[in-house]
Amino acid sequence: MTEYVLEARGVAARYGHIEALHGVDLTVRAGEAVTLVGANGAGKTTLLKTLVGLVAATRGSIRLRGHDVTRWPVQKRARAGLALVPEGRHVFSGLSVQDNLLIGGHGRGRTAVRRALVDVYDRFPVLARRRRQRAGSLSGGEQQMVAIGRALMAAPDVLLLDEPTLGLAPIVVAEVTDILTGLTGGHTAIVLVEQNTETAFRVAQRGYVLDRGLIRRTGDVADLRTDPEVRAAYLGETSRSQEPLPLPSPRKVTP
Amino acid sequence: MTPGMKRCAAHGVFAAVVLSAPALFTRMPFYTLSTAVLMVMLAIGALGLVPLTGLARQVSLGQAAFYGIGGYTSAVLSTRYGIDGWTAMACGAVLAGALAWLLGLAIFRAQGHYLTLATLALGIALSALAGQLPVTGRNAGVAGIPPLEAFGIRLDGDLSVFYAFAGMLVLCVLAVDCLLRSGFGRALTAAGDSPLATAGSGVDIARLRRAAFVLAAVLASIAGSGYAYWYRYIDPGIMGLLSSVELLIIVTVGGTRSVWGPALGAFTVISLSQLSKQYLPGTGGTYELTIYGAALILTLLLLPDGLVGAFAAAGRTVRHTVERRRTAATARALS
Repeated sequence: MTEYVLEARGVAARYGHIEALHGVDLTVRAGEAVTLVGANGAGKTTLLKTLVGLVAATRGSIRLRGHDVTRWPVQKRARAGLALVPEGRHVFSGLSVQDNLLIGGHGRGRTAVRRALVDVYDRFPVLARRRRQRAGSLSGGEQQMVAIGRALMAAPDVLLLDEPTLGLAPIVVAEVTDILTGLTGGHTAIVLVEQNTETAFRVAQRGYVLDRGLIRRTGDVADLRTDPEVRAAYLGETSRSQEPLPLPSPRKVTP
Repeated sequence: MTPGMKRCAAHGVFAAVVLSAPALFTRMPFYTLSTAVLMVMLAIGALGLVPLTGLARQVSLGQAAFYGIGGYTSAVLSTRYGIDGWTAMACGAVLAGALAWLLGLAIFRAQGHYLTLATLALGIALSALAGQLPVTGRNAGVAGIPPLEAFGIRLDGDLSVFYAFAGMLVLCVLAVDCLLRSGFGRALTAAGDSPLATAGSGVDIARLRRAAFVLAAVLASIAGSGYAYWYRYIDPGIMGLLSSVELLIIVTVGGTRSVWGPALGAFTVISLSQLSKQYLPGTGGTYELTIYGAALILTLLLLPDGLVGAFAAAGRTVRHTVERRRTAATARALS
């Protein structure tokens, strides 16, 4: 049995003729929280989409609990334990909060769904109070709770979050960061894509620094946080002592 | 009153209004019983567009093709092979459902507006085919279709056909409402709102949309069969693009997200058409298309949720106003 709950090896992906990922390796252990950081266009969202099946991997393999899921469609991967909280939250605005959560439990037994609903309401009491309200009428922070709660309804092995604090007010960012920190340490592993490195490094234990479709650095967040090269080249901080790392140009792929 | 009880009461009111239509229609100047029968048939035919277009946001321009499949299957089986009308109607529904399922297998694998284009092509192709095949009577169509029989009664008059199909409309509305309140309806609404998040929640979107498409095809086929047995004649014109657009306009005007929308839409659109014939002298129905177009544009601009949505919004406004006044009166009394 593999020690990793999620294991991507040499994963490449492309949009049309442009290759956006050039062979990425990523591993996540059960219950672990890892973060993917990097500048805009580094390939973080593409990697998440490739892991969940929204973008097809053109090379490499993706394994979930040892099973090769590389060719599985998105819904099959979701049912197998990969839950995505997409960028922009994507709550179902025409449905109530409770119906949004029930969609997350799709395909699970009635008892399991009921238990999961109780767990989500315990974690997010505000959602219990607003369960009959249309999700589209909630605040940004509450909608983010719905999106996270919906993903948790599937009791996933790996929860993948794409920019969960994007577009939120600072006070709500702090609230969402607390929520994400509260999710760590349990059964569910977390893969967090976050522009806000403060949030990312607070939530995760390990990090991957992506740049133009390649993993440039990996290690404990404590090391990444203090690595001057990483800070200078990828986290937007200037360093006179370090030259920026050489970056590959996007590769053109012959169809 | 619980939401479930309110829903039951609303269905009761709907059934009472539909079933009392003949009493009203025979007393009004530009309505006839035939108009009421046509409205009921069109309402059944458009009902399937509520889950498909209203919730899943998939636009079909082939609803009339399935209407025609039902009509032709019933006409051919009853006139050529002497098969009982209800059995022939069921055969038509199975055939329409099977074709929709097969078509859906190919269409819903890809993303985009393939359904609209594919169903447009289906309608044109089937209409042309029906105009060429000897079994469908070529362009002359099929005449002499025997009327339906129920409990030993021949449904050969407008009134008997109306009650049979109005009852069927009420049952179909109830059945579709139950379906839309289940996990299926919830998933359809979610898929319409965000296909990405729905698929990411483990829902097979292609299968879901295919199921909605099959449901729409089956309901259209039942309505088409009913039309053939009522009119006793069917020709390729029934499957044309205009008929599909008419069904789409009906559901848009009535409300694409409510099971009562198609019935209200059929009433409104056919009434407008009748009014134009009655009060625009010398037009002889030539303004019908213009009126359909105007009704669609006005609805999209002024009532994006259709008439049912507008009535619901008006009801909410009245309720809030009454509550506000009551609260103000209580506050005045206390002070």
